[in-house]
Amino acid sequence: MPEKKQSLGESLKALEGIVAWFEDQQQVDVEEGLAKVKEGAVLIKASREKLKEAENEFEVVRKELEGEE
Amino acid sequence: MADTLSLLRMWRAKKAAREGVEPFRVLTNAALEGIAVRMPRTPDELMEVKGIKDAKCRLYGKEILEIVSRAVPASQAVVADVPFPDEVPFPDGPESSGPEEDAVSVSRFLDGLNTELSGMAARIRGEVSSVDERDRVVYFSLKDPEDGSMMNCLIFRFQYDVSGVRIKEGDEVIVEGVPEIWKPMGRLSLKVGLIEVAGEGALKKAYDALYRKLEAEGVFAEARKRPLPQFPERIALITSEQGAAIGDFLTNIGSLGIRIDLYPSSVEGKRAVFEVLDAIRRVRARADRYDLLVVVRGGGSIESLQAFNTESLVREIALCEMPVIAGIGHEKDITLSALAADRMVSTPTAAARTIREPFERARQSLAHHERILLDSFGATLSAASDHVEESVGTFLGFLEGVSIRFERARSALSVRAGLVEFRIRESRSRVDAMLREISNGWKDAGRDVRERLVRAESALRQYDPNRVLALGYGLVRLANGALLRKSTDTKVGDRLDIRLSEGRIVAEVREFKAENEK
Repeated sequence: MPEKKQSLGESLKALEGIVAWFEDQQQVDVEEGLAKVKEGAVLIKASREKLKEAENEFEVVRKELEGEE
Repeated sequence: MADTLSLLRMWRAKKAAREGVEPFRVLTNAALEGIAVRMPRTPDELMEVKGIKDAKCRLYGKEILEIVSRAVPASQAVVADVPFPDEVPFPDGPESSGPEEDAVSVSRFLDGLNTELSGMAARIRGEVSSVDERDRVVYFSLKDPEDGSMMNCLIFRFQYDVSGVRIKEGDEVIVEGVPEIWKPMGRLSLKVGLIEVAGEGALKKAYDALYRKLEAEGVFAEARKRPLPQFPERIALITSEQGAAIGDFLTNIGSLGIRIDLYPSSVEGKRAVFEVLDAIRRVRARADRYDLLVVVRGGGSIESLQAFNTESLVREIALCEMPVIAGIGHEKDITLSALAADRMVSTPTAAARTIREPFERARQSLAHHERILLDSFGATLSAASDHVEESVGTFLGFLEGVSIRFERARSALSVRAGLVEFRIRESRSRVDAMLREISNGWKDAGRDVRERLVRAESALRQYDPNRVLALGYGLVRLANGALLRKSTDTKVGDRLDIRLSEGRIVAEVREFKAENEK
């Protein structure tokens, strides 16, 4: 499959990581928290872009030349 | 001619695909070649080509003539050089009373027959009565169990292998093929393209046998199943262009913004095995383009699903470079192809939902994560702000503490200061009192002294020596000025200074006498 810079799956995984980080922290460092939120926002934007409702491209791939019967 | 033939073949392939039939049903190869050679320009000329009759001419005439007219300039010279028989033995048939020259040769007659026969493809049921397997061809004969009628059949090895049916004498089979006369022997044979096992019982038996064989090889093993891509971007889809399956799939997959390439293939019955197999091979040839292959069709009887229980197809699916979802038939008729796929679902709709679901979940979890992230950060900020407030509170508290202590100290101090002040005042008043006392004392003392002085004055006056002197006493002093009180303090010859009340005399001691001496 053609690899993208970051696939949707990877973005979502990274996002889950950030969310988990927030859930784990007893005391969140504001600077670090802000950095994580910024990172998360970028991931959300990218993922949303990929997940947005868009028509599928549909094509019928026909054989150029039918073989002999 | 080659150009025209290629164009005609492409046209036939499209036509066949659109009509969902096999290409030879549109026009036979012989007919296409005939057209390419004859290069007809009118419907009448087209009708002169072998294998093209009224019906075909009405259906395809216009399109064929157009293809030919486009190709004419390039190939006209060639066409002119090719001798082409004007006689068409069929469909009109030879004139029984015609002259000798009208008679056709055996070969041409058989060619004519074969052309006609090529349009008579059939599906025939019978019992295998003899089998002769050669390298490239398998010869066998089919017998009608009711009246013993016999028919010669042959099938090419590759088709035999794809069919996946090993025939032996006594097997009841269904074959599909086209009758043809083998000219060297003048013998009619059915050129079989496909062999099926006939009857539910036989099908089940064949199914079970193939299942056991492939199972033993590990073709269905859980371990070789690959996980489906979570978010496929390019899907190859194999199913029929007609029928409900394609609609169900495309409707239910939703708008995911992905690419779906349909490799159309008939999926009905055993004959579908060739098309499905071919479609999978075409997909595999472009394997790098796809991250998922989906093969779907509606449910059906074990007979209609036969293609998917064919060994060659099952193996091809197992060999696929990309994960395969099979939505072929319902739970009750699981096909071996479905078992070999990485994911087996019951219907085209289920296949579509399987693909769609991770996208839906991702959409939901994205919203969820976004909320959590915002909440978490909000909480962080408010915690931070609480912390700041707390710190400020602590600081203020501290300040307050300081101020309270200060206040306390101040008031303590002021109390003490008051006390000191009081004491000072007290002291001062005591001092004042003392001073007063002292001054009063002094005053008293002064009065006293005066009185005493007065008294002393009068006393003094009393004791005034002059007064005593006046009484006749004198003061006797020695030469050194000391008062003489005892006679012993002087000696004869000393000069004595005697003071009297009035005046002084100097005397000399002459003799000492006792007190009582006269």
